[in-house]
Amino acid sequence: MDNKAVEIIPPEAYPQVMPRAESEAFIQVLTSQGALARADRVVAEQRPIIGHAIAAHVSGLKSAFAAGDLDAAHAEAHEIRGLAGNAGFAAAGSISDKFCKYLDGTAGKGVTPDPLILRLHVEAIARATQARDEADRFGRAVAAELDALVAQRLAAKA
Amino acid sequence: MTTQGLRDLTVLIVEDNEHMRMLLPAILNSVGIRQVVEAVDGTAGFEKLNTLSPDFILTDLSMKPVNGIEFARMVRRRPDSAKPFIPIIMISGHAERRFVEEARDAGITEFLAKPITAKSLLLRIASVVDQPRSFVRCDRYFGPNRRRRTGKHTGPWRRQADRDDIVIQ
Repeated sequence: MDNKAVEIIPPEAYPQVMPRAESEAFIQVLTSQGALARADRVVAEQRPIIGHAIAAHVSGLKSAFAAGDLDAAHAEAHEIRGLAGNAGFAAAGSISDKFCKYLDGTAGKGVTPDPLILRLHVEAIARATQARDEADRFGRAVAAELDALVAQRLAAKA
Repeated sequence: MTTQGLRDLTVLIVEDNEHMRMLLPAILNSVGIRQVVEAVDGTAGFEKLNTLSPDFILTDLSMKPVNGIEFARMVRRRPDSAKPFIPIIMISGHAERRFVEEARDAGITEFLAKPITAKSLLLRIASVVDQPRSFVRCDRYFGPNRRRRTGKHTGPWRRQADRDDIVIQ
């Protein structure tokens, strides 16, 4: 396609969220220290609620894995990786992310995922959501070890 | 903008996870944005876009039956879309490059990786309001200009498929 077929529409030529004069004041309000502090408080208040949700997703992950339903296990791990950071379970989120990537990686290569690697991930995710501070510290180390193991296995099957 | 102005904004949240559907409105409410409408997938989101005319969209990527990428395509390209230029902020746990590129090519305005922080969300909203980008319409794409650099272009080609009209003598 040449440039004659490309239309560039500048911001002035389409409807904006608000007029320019108002947007400057909007940004000031939205990014003020007071607004950020209020928003941070709200996120902190949601932590226990999201923590309960994580527990339910971990339970679902274990059940799905035990039943051999890897699609369902992936779906549960995907929810955990998205929510865990907002519940203070960063390590669980990180390990869940690696679990999803391992399943995506093996599917992409057309190979069967190693049940041992999957089990190690599921157990590590569950442990990382139990005792917060200690689990987070060890969880990060476990995540790093699992990451190395997955990279090694995927490279071997490439 | 006054606090009243913030209250006048309407945000459409398209998200299938009920906890994110609690967290996102709570953050918006905390800064004074009170009008939040929700949908659980792209089809429901498209209906709400056309009936409620929101000011911007926060959407997840992974949803069934219609995911966030397909939803973004519907918003940008369907002839019956009420607001094809609306800012779309995609929030997803899929932060891998291929997903980000697919979302960009569907016409999203900003991408935010989960887990979100209040600051990251508010800064993305500030960005879409304060730094609107030109839109590009061509055969294969309609959406915000995918090139963010604004520096003056000094070379002859802007696009891979541009014709070479330069004659070297």
